[in-house]
Amino acid sequence: MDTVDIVDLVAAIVGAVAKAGTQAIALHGANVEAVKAAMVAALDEQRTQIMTIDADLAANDAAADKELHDKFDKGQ
Amino acid sequence: MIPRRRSTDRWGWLLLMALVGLLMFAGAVSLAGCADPIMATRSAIATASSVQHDAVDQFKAWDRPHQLELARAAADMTTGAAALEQYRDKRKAVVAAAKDLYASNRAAEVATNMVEAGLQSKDKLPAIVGALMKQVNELLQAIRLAGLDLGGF
Repeated sequence: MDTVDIVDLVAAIVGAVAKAGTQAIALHGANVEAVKAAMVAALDEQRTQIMTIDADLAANDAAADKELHDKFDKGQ
Repeated sequence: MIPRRRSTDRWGWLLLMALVGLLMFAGAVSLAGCADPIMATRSAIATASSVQHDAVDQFKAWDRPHQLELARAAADMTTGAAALEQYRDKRKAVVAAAKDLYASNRAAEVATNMVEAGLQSKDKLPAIVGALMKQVNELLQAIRLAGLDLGGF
């Protein structure tokens, strides 16, 4: 292996390292964005649910109260 | 017959091994970067939000037939109203736990953004994740105490 071969070899390996590094950075960046997007979407869903939880449960309460009143008002 | 290596061959192989080592090092650094605490915290926030969303959805769906069952099983208006009142008192803990967890998720999101911006140390993130998982379990426990067992997390 002469000097020219070594220079070619070094150039090829440095190129491979740079390419692998660039791909890893791109993949990492894509993962970061995907995780961030998943978090934002989950929090949005959660916010909607929390905003309506009291009203949803109040509707259930009203249905149960009606059931109770219907049962005993009819019996009286 | 194996040709004898010249001195430049040895240097070439040494260089090759050093560069392969560098390549492996770069790969390891990249993998380590993928498991950073900011991503781990965001994943935990998303998980806590999703678990909460599913648990509260199931709870809301169960709440109505459960209350109707209490009303139908009542012997009279007074005991029926008392049974519903007693159940709704237990249910308050579910609503409070769900709201607390939501607030904690939002706070964790803000803390993560601050760490990402370099305004806060990332050392606090593992504790934030631990607290979120604890709150998820508290929510599931509150749902269990109200009468619906969704299992653990």
